[in-house]
Amino acid sequence: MSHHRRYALPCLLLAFAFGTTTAAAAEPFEAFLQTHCSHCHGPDATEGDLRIDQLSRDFPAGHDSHRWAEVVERVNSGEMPPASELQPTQAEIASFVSSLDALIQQGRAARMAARPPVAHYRLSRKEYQNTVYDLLGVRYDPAKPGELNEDSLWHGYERIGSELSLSPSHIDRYYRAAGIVLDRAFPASTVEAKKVRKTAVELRYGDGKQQQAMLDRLGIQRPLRYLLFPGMFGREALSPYWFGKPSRAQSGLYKMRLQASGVRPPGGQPAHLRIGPIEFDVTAAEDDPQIYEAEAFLEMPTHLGFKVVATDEIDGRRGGAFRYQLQDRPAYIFTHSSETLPLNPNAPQMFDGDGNGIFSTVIVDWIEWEGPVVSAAEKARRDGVQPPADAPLEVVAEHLQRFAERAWRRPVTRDELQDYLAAYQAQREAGATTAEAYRTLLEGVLTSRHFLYLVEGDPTPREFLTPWELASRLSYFLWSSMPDDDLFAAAGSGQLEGAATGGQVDRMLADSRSDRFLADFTRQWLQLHRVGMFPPDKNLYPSYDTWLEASMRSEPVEFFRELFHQNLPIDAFIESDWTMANVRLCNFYGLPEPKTDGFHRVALKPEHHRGGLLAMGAVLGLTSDGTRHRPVHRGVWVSEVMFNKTPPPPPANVPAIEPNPPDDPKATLRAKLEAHRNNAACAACHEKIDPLGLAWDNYDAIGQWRTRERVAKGTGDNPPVNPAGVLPDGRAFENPRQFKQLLLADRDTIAHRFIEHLCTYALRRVLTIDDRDDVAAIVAVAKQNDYRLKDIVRAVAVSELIRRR
Amino acid sequence: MANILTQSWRIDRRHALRAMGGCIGLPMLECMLPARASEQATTVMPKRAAFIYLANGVHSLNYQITQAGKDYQFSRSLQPLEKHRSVITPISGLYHPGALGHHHNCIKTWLTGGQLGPTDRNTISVDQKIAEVTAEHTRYPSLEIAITQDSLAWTVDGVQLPPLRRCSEIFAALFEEPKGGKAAQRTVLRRKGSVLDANLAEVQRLSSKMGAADKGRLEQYLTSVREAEIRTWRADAWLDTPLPEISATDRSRTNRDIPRTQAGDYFRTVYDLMVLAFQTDVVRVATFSLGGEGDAIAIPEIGITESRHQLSHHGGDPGYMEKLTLYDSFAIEQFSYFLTRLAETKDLNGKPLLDTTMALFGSGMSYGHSHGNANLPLVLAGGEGLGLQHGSHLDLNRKAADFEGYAIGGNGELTTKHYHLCSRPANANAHMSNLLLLMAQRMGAEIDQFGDSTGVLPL
Repeated sequence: MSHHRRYALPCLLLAFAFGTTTAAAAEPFEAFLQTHCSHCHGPDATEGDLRIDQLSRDFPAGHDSHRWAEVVERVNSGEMPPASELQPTQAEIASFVSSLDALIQQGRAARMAARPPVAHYRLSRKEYQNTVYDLLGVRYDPAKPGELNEDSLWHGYERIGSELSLSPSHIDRYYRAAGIVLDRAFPASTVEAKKVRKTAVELRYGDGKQQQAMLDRLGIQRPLRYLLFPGMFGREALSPYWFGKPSRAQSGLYKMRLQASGVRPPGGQPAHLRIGPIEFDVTAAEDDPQIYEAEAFLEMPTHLGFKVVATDEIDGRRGGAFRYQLQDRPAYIFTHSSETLPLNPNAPQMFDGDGNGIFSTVIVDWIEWEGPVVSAAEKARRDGVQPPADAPLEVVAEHLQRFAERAWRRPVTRDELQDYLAAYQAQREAGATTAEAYRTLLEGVLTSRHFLYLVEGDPTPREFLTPWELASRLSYFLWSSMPDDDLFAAAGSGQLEGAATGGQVDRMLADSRSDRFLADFTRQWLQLHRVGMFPPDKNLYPSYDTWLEASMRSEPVEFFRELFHQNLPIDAFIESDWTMANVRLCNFYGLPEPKTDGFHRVALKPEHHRGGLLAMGAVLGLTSDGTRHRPVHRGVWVSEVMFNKTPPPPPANVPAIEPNPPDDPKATLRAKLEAHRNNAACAACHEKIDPLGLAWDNYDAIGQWRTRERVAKGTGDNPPVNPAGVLPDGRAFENPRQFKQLLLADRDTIAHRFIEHLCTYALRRVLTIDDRDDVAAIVAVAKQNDYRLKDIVRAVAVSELIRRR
Repeated sequence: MANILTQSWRIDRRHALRAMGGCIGLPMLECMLPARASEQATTVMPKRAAFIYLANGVHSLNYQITQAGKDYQFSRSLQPLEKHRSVITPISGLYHPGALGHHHNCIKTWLTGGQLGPTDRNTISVDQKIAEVTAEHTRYPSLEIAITQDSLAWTVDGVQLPPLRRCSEIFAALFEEPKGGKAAQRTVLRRKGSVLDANLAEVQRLSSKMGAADKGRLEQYLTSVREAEIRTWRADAWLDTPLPEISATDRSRTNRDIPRTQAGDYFRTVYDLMVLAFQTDVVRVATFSLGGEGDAIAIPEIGITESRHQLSHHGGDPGYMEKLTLYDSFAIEQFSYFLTRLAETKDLNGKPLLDTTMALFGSGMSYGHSHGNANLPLVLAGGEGLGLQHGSHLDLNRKAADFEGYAIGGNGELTTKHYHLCSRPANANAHMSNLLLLMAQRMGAEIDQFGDSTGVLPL
């Protein structure tokens, strides 16, 4: 095994360094091919129709990439060379597989990053949504079923140009979306905002007469209130009928006010109420209700229900719904927890003898909705878009040109609009009014490639972006949307060239729209779309619920936001003595609870076993499968996210790890993994991936800290966790804390890889070896600023790289 | 009942010109008409094809048929198809080379036989290849249904088509009158046509300026807009042909929303809609995914509350393996219902619809627990009128020279050694694309190659 140690270091460098391999003549993998493959797959014998000497070595062209992938696959799986032949050592396999795979990946990156003279990068659904809002002040949800098609992801990224394709069905849906957006911007008849208030009686008791008579009979003075409990079948919190005849035209921003109080059982969770997209903890005491306010964009017509989210639910089938009832029939009644006269003795108890809640419940007095609300600022964006009713063609053309310039994010010549204007005239001649015919022009602008794509370049190739192209690249990078008037003006007046860009970038980073960058980038970089993809098993993880999941998903985003706003060094990605948490997460992590709702910066102590991104519930959960933790998935995640390196793919059809047999002693997953990868071919890659994941074995599938691994079947005690390991470069660690220290010792690498991720996001393409110098220049600037996050983002935004085509 | 079947239909050139008004130039017309619109189209009996996908493979030990040829015995999971023995062919041993090792992505290439990877563009799926020849005869080119996640259909550009999900949504898409009546609908379509036409003219101008240079995404935008425009004009022309009348019974049975918790009713109603669509000739090719690889629905009515993905990763747990087997037979029983309905429904010539309808049922995976993508579970049914000969178990494993027989243990049952066959193909030449090529050819596609086919599967 000393033999292997000697090889491990070069392997690691190869795997984690950026572009250290080039297609030179004496590639190390050639020697391996010569020794182990050529005599059966060469000029003398061509087993399986394969002649390795004739496979193309031009990896960027990718002619034979599938055959090369098959070569990696066969060696990786131990199938080749066959048992009758000389067997390579584990180190030789490792070196061969990683060097060949690096070339295949580089070739792939070059093909993905290839840019024709005119490049088209389609907007993602989220960017489309933001853009129509910033353009026309229109709220539209493209993710609603039946609206725009889902974007295809590339390692979590939603906006890689080579991944975002288009079919006729996309065109149909864009056309439809344009119609909806224009209907909302310029409605045929204005939908007036309405304010509707529903009392507890209206929400829960119909007219409430029967219940009131009952209260009178019992001599109860208190008013009827509406008790919501977890597991209750959702009752209506909003109905489109409250706002008139249900229609799409009612869509828009709705403001909600709710008077309620919450009951938290001793030692239990605060009452958490969800109403469609709105959710919050209800912490006001039963006798001191408070008014909660929120707003949400609603695609109408829709119905929203009340739902109390908690892990401890009342099973409605056991009669929980009827704990408070009129004695002679199954009707419901509730006024106060202390009121025991109308109780049904056979239903689950909601409160104990001392008035403490047994479940987390919410007591509602009334709810009020106002909407759809359109602000003056939103309306202002539609000013001057439409020409007057009897406008001559010239005036129509001027209006169209002005609108197209904003929508297409650049100056537009009259010539470019001639096809649209011809269609307009044809419509007018066929009897359409100015408004009707003009509407087809607006639809045309919104379904044009200039709107749907970021278009960069001219038929004649050039090296740098125009100021207009740069304005869009910056605004979609930092705002996930189109440039605003200031940025347009800067592009038009030469302020987006060279050093002058800095002023605009600083303004953009200070603008509240940069919140979109913070949320969108973090979600994509950390692959947070995988959170909850495999819902945790309810029996194994009873403390998990959808509110915990939503809180987990927010934690890394809030953490990134805090780092950005405080401009802290990115070492916190790896280790920190604080995190961002709300009450639910603090409960889950065992941290002291913050006094108020929402996310707060909370201090961490070593005994909390948290700190950094890798110890967050979201990351630990998304790398598990809902039943058990997956050390290999965790290793791959660390490799991809922290080192920007995707390990070679596993060979096909590896036998799965079977559960512990009932008669065997209980064994950890790690022990089984180690027994599993008993051949040199498997060990070659896993030795590099697995330590990165095994370091987190102290955290279970939902991220709870543990020192023993729970094993369902088997004899003896649950086995102790062993999180120790050795990095591929030979440095050893005992536990996650030491592992983090080792990563931090190499902070230059961590920063470099992070900057690559940021550039991929900003440029909407994967990086290639050609970007190496530009990236290094950004890294140098970042290093001067001690790798502070905001400075890094700024350095990318003002870099030479971002101005390049 | 006489009105239920519409006649086959093609766009009449003069009619189309009238429908397009003045908004469109002649070059469009040429792309609008199908390349091989032949005169005999109206007299030939319609041919149909359906493709049904079951995610995550099957419990192969209870699924595999181990005897080849006519005298095979039905396995436990395939039992519900026994009554259709004479009109079906279970097929063993096929696989997609491009899907090996691609885990759950196998659903993406199930009907394409394409390659997977970040720079690989998927290729056209067989249903869309078939639609190229059938679309000219029907109101809608093809039908894509998926209860959860993605559809099985991919365009010629390797772009996935979005699916319909709810039964009422499928019914509306096939049989409901357009909103606001014919005239209003025509105005809407004309306006859309002229918008797309302007987009197209603009992009064509740039495209010609660029000459032979690499156009990247531009090309995709151009073909998509062009195709969307053609469809708009086709829809316009179809406005004058009345929609088929659907009887009140059929309507109330199929035009409703069924919760996912009633899987059986859901599956059967989708099958009813497919039968209705074929019978009324509004469409001739349909794909139906019973659910995606990650999210195929549970079946509470037979006590299965786990997702299919969860069951397939059974880890050797006998309870899970039993549930997976129950799920398999349940899904196969609903497929059997589809065949029964096709058999009892009459085509124009009075023969069973099943006679001219080919239905392929199966998965892109066989052993879900370790993502085995070989020896795919597949059953081809119907279409005897298109020349298919059924009644045997077509076993491609046994056609491999070095196949040593199925891994049958002392008790006569398959042992876990069988899983190896489900992960690594025994017969390297048994490409599933050969089967897809066979189906495309029988549907009238004039091709001799599809995906990575190496020949036509003999059947």
